[in-house]
Amino acid sequence: MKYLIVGCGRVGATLAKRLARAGHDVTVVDEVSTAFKRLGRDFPGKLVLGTGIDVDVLCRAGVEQADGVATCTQGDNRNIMAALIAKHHFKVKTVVARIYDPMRAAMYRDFGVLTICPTTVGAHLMAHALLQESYRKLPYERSDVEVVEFVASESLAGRTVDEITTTGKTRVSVVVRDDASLIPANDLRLRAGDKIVMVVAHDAEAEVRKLITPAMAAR
Amino acid sequence: MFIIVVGGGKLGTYLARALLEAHHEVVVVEKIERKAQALAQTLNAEIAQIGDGCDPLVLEEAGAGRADAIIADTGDDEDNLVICLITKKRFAKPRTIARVNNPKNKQIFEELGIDSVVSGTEIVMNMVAQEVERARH
Repeated sequence: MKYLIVGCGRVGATLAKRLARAGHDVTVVDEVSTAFKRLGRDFPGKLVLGTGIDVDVLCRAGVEQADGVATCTQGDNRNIMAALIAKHHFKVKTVVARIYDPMRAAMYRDFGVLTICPTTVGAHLMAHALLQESYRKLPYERSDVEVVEFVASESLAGRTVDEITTTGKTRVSVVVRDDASLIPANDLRLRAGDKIVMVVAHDAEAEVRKLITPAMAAR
Repeated sequence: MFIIVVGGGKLGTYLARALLEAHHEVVVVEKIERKAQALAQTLNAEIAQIGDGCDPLVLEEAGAGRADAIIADTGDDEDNLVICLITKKRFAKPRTIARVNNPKNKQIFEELGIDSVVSGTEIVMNMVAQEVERARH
C-alpha cells in the first residue's frame, strides 16, 4: 500500500520507518531537509521537501495515489488543514491527524478525519501506571464501544468465558495467560490472574464492573 | 453589524478602523499581548482582546454567539481555516470570511465551506497583470 506522512518529527519518522519495514511504499514530507536525518540512511521511501498544506507539494508527494495519509507536524492547525485537504480535496480514503488539543481532536472527528490525541492517550496511560489499576480502558477511538482490560480475580476463577459474557453487550477478545495471548473459545475456564481484554458496548459498562474485584467495583 | 476580527496585525488594525468608521461594532482577537496592547492604544481600548482565536472558548468570549461575521485575517492559512471551521461548527450565526496567504488555498477553503475567501496576493497579482496589459497598449 502507498502511504504519505506529513511531518518528519519523532512520530512521523518512527511511523514512516515502521510502515516501510512492513513493506509499504512510503513518502515523507517536511519543510526542513535536516528532519529527514531521523529516517536514517537506509530509509527506502521517497522524501519531498515542502509544506503539507500546499496542494502542489502534496501532489508531488503522490497524494492522488495514496491509500492513506498521516499528518504529524508540530502544529495542530497545520495537521488538521493538511488532513482536510487530503480527505476532501484529494478524496484519500484513510486520513489520520495528530492533534494535541483534546477539545479540537474531538471536534475534527466530525469532519471525517481520524484524530489521535497524544495528550489524552498519554495522560490515560500515565494515570494507569500511577494508580496501578486492575481495570483500564484501552485507547479506542469510538464512542459507542469500549475496549477494556482487567485482571481476573479469585471470584472469576473456574468460570468460563461464556459465563462472563453478555450476548450482544460484551465479548472476550483475548485472555493473556503466562505471557501468551489466547483467543479464547467459549468454554475456556478462567484462572485468577488472567488478563482479560473485553469489547464492551457503551451502555454495558456496569456488566463489566460486576466482574471485577468487589473493591474495584465499589469505586 | 457586529464583526469579530481574528488577527490584529497591520491588516487587522486597518480593517478594524475602517469598520469602526462605518459604525460597525468590532472586536479584535489577537494572541500576542504586545500587539493587542498596541491595538488598544491606536483604536478603542475595549475592542482589543488577547487570546488565541483558534480556541472556541476565546471566540465565545469575544461574542461569536451573536456576531454577524468573523474575519480570520492572520498570516497563517492553517489558523484562518481552523478559526472559520470552529466558528461554523460551534456558532451557527456568523458569516465566515477568511484571508488566504497562499492563493492556491482559496479553492480548498471554498470546498470546505468557508463563506467568503479573500486572497490578497491574487488581488494584487490581478491588478499588476491589468497594469502590465494596459502599459502594453
